[in-house]
Amino acid sequence: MAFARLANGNEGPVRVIEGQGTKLSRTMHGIAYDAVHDEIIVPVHLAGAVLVFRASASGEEAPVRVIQGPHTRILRPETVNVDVKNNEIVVGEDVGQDVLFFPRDANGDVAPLRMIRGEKTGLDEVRGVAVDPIRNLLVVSSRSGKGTTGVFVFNRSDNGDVAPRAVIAGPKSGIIRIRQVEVDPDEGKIFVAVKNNTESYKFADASPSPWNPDKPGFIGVWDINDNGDVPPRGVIKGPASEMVWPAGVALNPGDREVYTIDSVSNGMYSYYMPEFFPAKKQ
Amino acid sequence: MNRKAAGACAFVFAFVATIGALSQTAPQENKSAKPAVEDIPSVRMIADPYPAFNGIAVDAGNGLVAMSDPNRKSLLLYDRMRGASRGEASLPLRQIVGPDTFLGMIAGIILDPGHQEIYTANNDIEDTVVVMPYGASGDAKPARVFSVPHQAWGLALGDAADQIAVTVEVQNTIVFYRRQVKGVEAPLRILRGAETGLADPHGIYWDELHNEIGVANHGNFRGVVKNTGGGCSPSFVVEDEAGESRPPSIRIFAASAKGDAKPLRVIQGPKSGLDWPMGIAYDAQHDTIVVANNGDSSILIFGRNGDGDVAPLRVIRGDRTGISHPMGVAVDPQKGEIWVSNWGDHSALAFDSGARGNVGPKRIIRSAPAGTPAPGFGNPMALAYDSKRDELLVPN
Repeated sequence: MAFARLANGNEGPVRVIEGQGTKLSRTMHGIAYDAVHDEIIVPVHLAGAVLVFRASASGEEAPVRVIQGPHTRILRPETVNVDVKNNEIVVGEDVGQDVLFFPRDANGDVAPLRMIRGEKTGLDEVRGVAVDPIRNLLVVSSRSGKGTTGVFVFNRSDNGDVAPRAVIAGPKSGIIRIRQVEVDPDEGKIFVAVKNNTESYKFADASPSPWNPDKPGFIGVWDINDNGDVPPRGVIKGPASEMVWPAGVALNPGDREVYTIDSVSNGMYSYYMPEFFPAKKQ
Repeated sequence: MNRKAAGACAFVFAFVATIGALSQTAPQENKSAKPAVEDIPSVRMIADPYPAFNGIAVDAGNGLVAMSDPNRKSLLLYDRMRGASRGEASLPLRQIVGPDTFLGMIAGIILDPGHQEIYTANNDIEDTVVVMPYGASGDAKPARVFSVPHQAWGLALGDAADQIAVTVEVQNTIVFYRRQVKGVEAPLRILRGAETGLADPHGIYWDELHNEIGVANHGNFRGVVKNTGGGCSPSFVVEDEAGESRPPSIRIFAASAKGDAKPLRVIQGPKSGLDWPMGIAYDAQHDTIVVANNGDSSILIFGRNGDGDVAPLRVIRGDRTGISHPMGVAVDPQKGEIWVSNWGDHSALAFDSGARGNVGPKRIIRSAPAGTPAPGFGNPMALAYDSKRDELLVPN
């Protein structure tokens, strides 16, 4: 669904890409926009596919490219991003516990160029991926019930079972549950949707309902060189922000805005954050 | 820019609990200016303050129609005979909403008048089915809650079998529990496997007359996920099959089917017109299967014995119908009506069960005044900024 940036209040989308012909499902947890080639990239978790649409697509329009099939090594693509400088699509998987790199123009049953997967990576359920093309880094958000939940930073060209060069995680980080990440390479900052939702199957516990989260989520900003249990350098959260469980984060440095989408309130929020984009003068 | 003024949207749903002190200390000096840390309002927001209908169920005997509302996380019960003819929002008899309800991203709904219970499936995050007493209202506690696999969507009750069937999108599965299930309990049986053809199943009905169940199948498939748990926890063991985007289908099984059972019949193919089939119901009066065809905003009506690439017997579609991205359908056998819940415009519509073509509904129930926009968010998890069109993109 596409919404006008300046829409405010109870407004509908200006256009929707939908229907069986799109190959989309009704459950998708990632999206990326390629400003250079004017395309939208969407992972379809339930069909093991990555779809690429014309950015102006509308209605039941077929994707222009589909990455799907046994050679792709795609299991369950959860999140996606695009690295236009290096001409790659980056796919993060929760079930696969990995990150796959494809040629940006890949189409069909195409093998990945590289894959970060294995015990040393520390990755579990990958929820977000972003590339810093200036520093040649890959930033991954990963959630784990048994391991580390946090932000993992790899060299962009890493391949195979490699350890991250940095991990931002721990009590001081405030990260309990994590979703989408974005990078502002100009500022050297990582923006993270720290969802912090609770889930419970223990019915003797307090309600697992989203109505009663014990730790509200936030948008956290870290430096690209941060490592370890470090607090965010910038935060958007609190009652005024109206965030409960922010799941997504997107950046618009030109207008010095940060966007999030909240899976509890089903709301999309825009924040004017000149402090986060000091290099952009008004 | 006045953040306070811009952020003070009166209709915002208040969820937020307490917050801790904001971090003021950076771990190390950064060459660039430090981002500020603030509890600030948004300058703009898009949210729908009204209930958005997903599933729908009818209790003809008690004159009720009920809808699940994943937007405001509530259940709404209405008098099925009262419409909102002048475009005003309809007043529900009861709305079940609040922190004690356990209601979250809810989808399918069942009314069980025999046992005076309302069932609804928490599709994502909570992974439960909530069972409410019939008379529940406001911030009511459920009568029971039971765990189901992640991405449970459709529900159907089998009275004779005394079982509840639950479709599970990601596991390509139908899971059956005893009706009185509570807490974390293993299913009685599971319908899953390559022969079933189940792939991203959604709506389900239980036809007691012919001892069949019917399932609306989206066709998204990525391996048959093994269930290594007790039927309650996600268990992502994926086999080697590659991802596929198969055609959508309606799959009819014996009501007692289990394991890797073949369907008795399959409606699938271009003639069927299936396009994101969501809710599904059996109409005993006409011996037909009624399908909410979300992708092209229509209702498709197939003969129960349809098999293969068959066209629907009837289609309700067009600008007069008011059908907008339908999610649920229900049949009222007493009044001879088909009920449709619209995700697209805050409404539920009652049609004559023999309706076809571009016909208007007999009655409309609205959760918001006519013409109110519907953002349509349902548990959104990501977004992106399209700098060329100055748009925000959201996968749903």
